Amino acid sequence: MVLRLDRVTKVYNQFTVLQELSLDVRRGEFLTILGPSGSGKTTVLQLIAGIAQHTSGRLLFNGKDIGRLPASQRPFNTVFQDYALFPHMTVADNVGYGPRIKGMNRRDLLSLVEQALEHVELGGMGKRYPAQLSGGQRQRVALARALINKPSIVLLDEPLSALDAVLRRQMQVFLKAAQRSSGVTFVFVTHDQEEAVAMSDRICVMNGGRVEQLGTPAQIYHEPSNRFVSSFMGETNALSAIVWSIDNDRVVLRSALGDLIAYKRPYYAFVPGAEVLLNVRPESVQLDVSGGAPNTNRLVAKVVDRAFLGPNSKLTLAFPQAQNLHWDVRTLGNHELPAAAGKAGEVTAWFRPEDCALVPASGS
Amino acid sequence: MRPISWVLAGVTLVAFIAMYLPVLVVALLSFFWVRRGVVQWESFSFDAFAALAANADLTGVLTNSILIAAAASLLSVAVAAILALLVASRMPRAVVALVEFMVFLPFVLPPIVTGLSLLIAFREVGLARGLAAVTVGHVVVVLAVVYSTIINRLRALSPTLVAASADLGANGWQTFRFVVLPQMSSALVAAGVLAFALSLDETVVTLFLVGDSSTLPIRLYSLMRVGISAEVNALATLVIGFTTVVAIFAGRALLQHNPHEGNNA
Repeated sequence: MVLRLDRVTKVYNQFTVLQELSLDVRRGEFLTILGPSGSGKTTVLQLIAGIAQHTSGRLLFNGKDIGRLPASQRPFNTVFQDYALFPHMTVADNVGYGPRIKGMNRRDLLSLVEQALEHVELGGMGKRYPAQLSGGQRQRVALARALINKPSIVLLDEPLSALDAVLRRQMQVFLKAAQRSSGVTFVFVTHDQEEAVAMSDRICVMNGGRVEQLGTPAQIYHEPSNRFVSSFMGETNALSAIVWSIDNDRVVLRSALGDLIAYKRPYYAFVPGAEVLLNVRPESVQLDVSGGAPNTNRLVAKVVDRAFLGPNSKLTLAFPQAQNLHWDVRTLGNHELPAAAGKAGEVTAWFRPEDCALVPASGS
Repeated sequence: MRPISWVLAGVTLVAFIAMYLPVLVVALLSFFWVRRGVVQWESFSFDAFAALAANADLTGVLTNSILIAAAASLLSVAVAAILALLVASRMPRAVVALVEFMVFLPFVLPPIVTGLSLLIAFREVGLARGLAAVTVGHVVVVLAVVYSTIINRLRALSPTLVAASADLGANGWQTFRFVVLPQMSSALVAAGVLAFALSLDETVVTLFLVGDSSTLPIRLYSLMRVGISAEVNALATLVIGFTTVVAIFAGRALLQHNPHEGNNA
C-alpha cells in the first residue's frame, strides 16, 4: 500500500461530493477510478493531487498524513484532461518545468528532458510548441512532464477523452506500457468502462460520491456487487427474481421466465425469499442450434430484432411470458437467424448457471 | 451588388470621409500653404516642423504630456494588474463586484465630475495642482480600460495551467513568474499603449488639476483664441502619425496575443 484514503469526505457549497470514501492504492498498480459524471471521481484525483482540500478524513501516504500539504509538495504529478501544457513554452521547457523549478542545472536538465522525450517517442520534438503538436503528441508531452519528476503516483484525469477512437486505443496501449516500464503507480480516472477494463490492474467503480465496488476488471465485470455496477459495466440482460432455495453450490430462482438456477458465489448473502436481479451478459446467452442444450435455464423466446455489428451480431429476444422484457444475444459472425429458429422465429436460448450474477434488487 | 449594399457602402464612405477628411486637411496644412481654399502645391516645405522645433513653449507642453502619459500608463498598468490578479484569484463575489464597481465608476462619470472631485480631494490631502496631480488624475480615468483589458486576459487563462504549475512543484511566485506573467504580458503592453493614448489627449480632468503648468491639449485649446499657426498643424500631424503607429501596435498586441497558442484544448 502506498496511499490510503481514510473516510474522506468532501463538501462543496453544502453539497457532499464524497461521502466517507476509503480507498487503498497499491504500489506499482494501474488503478482506474471509474464512474459516470458527477460520481466524484475527479474530486478524488484532485484531493490526492492537492488541487482541492478534503473536508474531513485522512489522506495517508506511506503512513504519513499528507492531507494538508500543498500540491507543490506532494510526490504526485497529474496529467490533466486538457493536458494543461504551457502554450508559451516549448515542448522541452514544458517537460523540464518540474526539475527546473527545483533548481536543476541546465546541462543535467537538457539531457534529462531529451531522455524523457525519447521515452514517450517524441525525441527531437523539444523545440516545437504545444500548438504545433497533434492531440496524441500533446498527451505524451503531458505524460513526460509528469514522469520526469519521478513521482510516486501519476494521476491521470480522463486524459483520453479528447482523442478520436483510433488514437484513443493506441494511447491506451501506450499508457499501459509506460506504466509497466516505469513501474510508477498510475491512478487513472475515466467514465469509459471499456477503457477501464482494458488498462487496469484494479478498478474502483464510483457513484454518487461513494465506492460501489473495488476489484480486478474480471471481478467487476463478472461478479458485480450491486445493481449499479452490473448495469454500468457494459451491456447486461437483467431479470427480477426471488431466491427460492439455496443448496451447496446453486441458487434456485423463481422468475417470470420460470425457475432458473444460478451458481452460488461465496460472497452472496442472500436468504430464501430475497428479491434479486439476475444478470446475464449478452455474450453468455447461448442459442440452441443443434437441440443439445441442457435442461436448466432454457428460455423460449422470439427474435424481434437483429443487427450485424461486424465481428458479431446482436439479436434481440422477447419472451411470451414477460412483456416488455428484452434480452440481447451476441452471436459470432453470422447474423442470419440460426437454424434453430422454429415457426414464427422462435428460438431456445439458455445460459450456464456460472455465467450469471445475482445482485440485490434494491439499492443502487 | 444589391441596392441595399450600395446604400451601405455609400454610408460607410461618407462616414469615413467625415472622420478622416479633417485629419487629412490638418496633415496637408502642415506641409502646404492654402490660399482661398486652394492648396498651393508648389509651397511644399518642412518650415512648419522647423518652427515647431524652435517653439520652446509647444515642445515644452508636448514633453509634459508625454511624461504624464508615460507615468500614467505605467502606474495604471501596475495598479490594474494587481487588482486584476486579486480579482482573478479566489475572491468572494461581493468583493469582486465592489472592486470592479470602483474601477469602472470614473469611466462612466462625466469627466467634469471626476475632475472636480479630484481637485477637492487633492486639496484636502495637500497634493498641489500640477503635473503630478494630473498624472494621478489620468490613472483614475484610464484605469477602467486598462483593468478590463488585463482581467479579460486573466479570465481567458485556463485555471488548469495554474494547477499544473503547482502540481509540478512551483510555489505561488514561480507560477506567477513563469506561467501567469508570460500569458498576460501582451495584454499588459496593449493596456499600457491604450492608457498612453488616452492620457495624451485627456483634457477635461486635466483642466482642473494642471494648475500653472500645461499639457498639449490644454495649450492647443488656449491657442484657439489667438488662431492656429502653422507649427500647431505640424504638431497635430506628428501626434496623428504617432497615435496611428501606436494604435496599430496595440491592436496587433491584443489580436495575436500569443503566436504559439493554438487550440490547445
